[in-house]
Amino acid sequence: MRHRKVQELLGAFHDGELAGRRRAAVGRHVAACPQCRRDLDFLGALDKLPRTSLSVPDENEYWASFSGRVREGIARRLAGAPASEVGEAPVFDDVFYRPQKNTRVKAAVLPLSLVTHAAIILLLIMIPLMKTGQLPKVEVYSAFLAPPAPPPPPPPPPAKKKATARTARIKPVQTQAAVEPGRLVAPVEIPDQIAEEKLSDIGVEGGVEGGVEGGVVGGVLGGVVGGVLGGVVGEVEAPVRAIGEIKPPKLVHSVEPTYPEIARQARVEGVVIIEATTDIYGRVASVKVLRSIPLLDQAAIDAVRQWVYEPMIINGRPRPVIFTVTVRFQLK
Amino acid sequence: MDAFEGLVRKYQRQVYAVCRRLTGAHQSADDLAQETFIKAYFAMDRFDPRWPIYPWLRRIAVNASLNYLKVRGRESSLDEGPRAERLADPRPADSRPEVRLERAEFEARFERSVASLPEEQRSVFVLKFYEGLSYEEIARTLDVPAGTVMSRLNRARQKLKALLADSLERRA
Repeated sequence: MRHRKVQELLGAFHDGELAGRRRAAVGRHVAACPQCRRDLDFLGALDKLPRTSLSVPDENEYWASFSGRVREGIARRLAGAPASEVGEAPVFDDVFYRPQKNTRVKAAVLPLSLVTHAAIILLLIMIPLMKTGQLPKVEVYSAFLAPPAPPPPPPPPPAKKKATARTARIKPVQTQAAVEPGRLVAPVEIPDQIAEEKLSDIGVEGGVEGGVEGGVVGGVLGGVVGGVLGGVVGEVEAPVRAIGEIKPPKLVHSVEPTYPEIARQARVEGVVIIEATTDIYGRVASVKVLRSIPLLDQAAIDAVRQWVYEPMIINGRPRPVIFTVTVRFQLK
Repeated sequence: MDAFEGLVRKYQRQVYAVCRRLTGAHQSADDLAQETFIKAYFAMDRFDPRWPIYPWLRRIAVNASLNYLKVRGRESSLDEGPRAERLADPRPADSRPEVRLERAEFEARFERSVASLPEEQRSVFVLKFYEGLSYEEIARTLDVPAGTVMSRLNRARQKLKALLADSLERRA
């Protein structure tokens, strides 16, 4: 028998609780093992120790009154009160001490619970993976997700026909509603074809065949509405850019730009460069900002629009001019 | 009631000793000893008179003590300090005072060592050493397997050996 096993059984051997082969085996080992003999000697010495009686305060009096106190306790218990501070538990609850019995089962509980928990967690992970089921059908409304397809390109224009053919094909559309002269009526339906307007319909007495609506009696064919009698036909020409030999026109009338309050407070300064186009009379017709200072742009535009230049005459004709103007904003 | 009082007088010291050794304090032992007899009084009708009464009383005392310890935790036996010196030794005292003193010191140390054992081991050791029960009886009293009694007793003795070996050898 091994020494370690004998050590475990030594107490029982000493107490005479071993029998048969085990007892003989331990006895053999002890005879050969000095350490076990020493341990056995210790057990013997321990057993020989006197069982000292315990000291009790005021010994005689204590024991003499003990049974009386027990009787009092019984009387108190009969009256319904706990006999002492240790008697707070229900009366017979601890007559029989119940220690933890199933220690082996309890020892097995921890690994078992670990395994069970692991299995449950694994199952919880596995089941959704295995059972995918039917995925819900998602209706995709493309209208909400993507912009609508661009409309188909317009049909190609019809092949050019000869003017004679076209005029022959286009039939004047009979207007259904009775049109009162001098009064405009919104058409109710879209006509299939566009009726050729008969200019002669709304004529002016004394007007000329082929004249322009809003023209002036005595005006020239091909003249401009609002034009001056005696003016030259085709006088409005494309504006020229003031580059090279063409110098920017001379400023006749200028308006000082108003310094915007917000720019003043922000202490914004700088130069706004504007491309101005004058009409044939030298008035600024349109402006375009080339170099912008956001806070100052509008003020510059407002000012420049009121400026007037000398009309640019090229080849004896007034021409609109495009040129750049710088407007300087400087805080005092 | 008189018969019961005779019973109390007969066994009060033994029952007190069991409670005291298990709890390690006079006050709780006093309470538990009284409690043991009170419980015995009320449970008397369940006692089979063919059996000896002391093991039954001891079992009640042990159970009450262990339950008490379980509920209260180990009670400190500090209140025993000065009294432990007044050991009432029934045996004839040695005439030499230094021997008497040494023995008293050792016995106090032994008591302290027993009291320092964990509750499980102490209960087994007390029942074996002071009550002289067999493993089987201890197992029945504590309601644990006999193998457990053996292993607990082994551990208790090993601890006591570590605590007392030097003094025991000196005594020997």
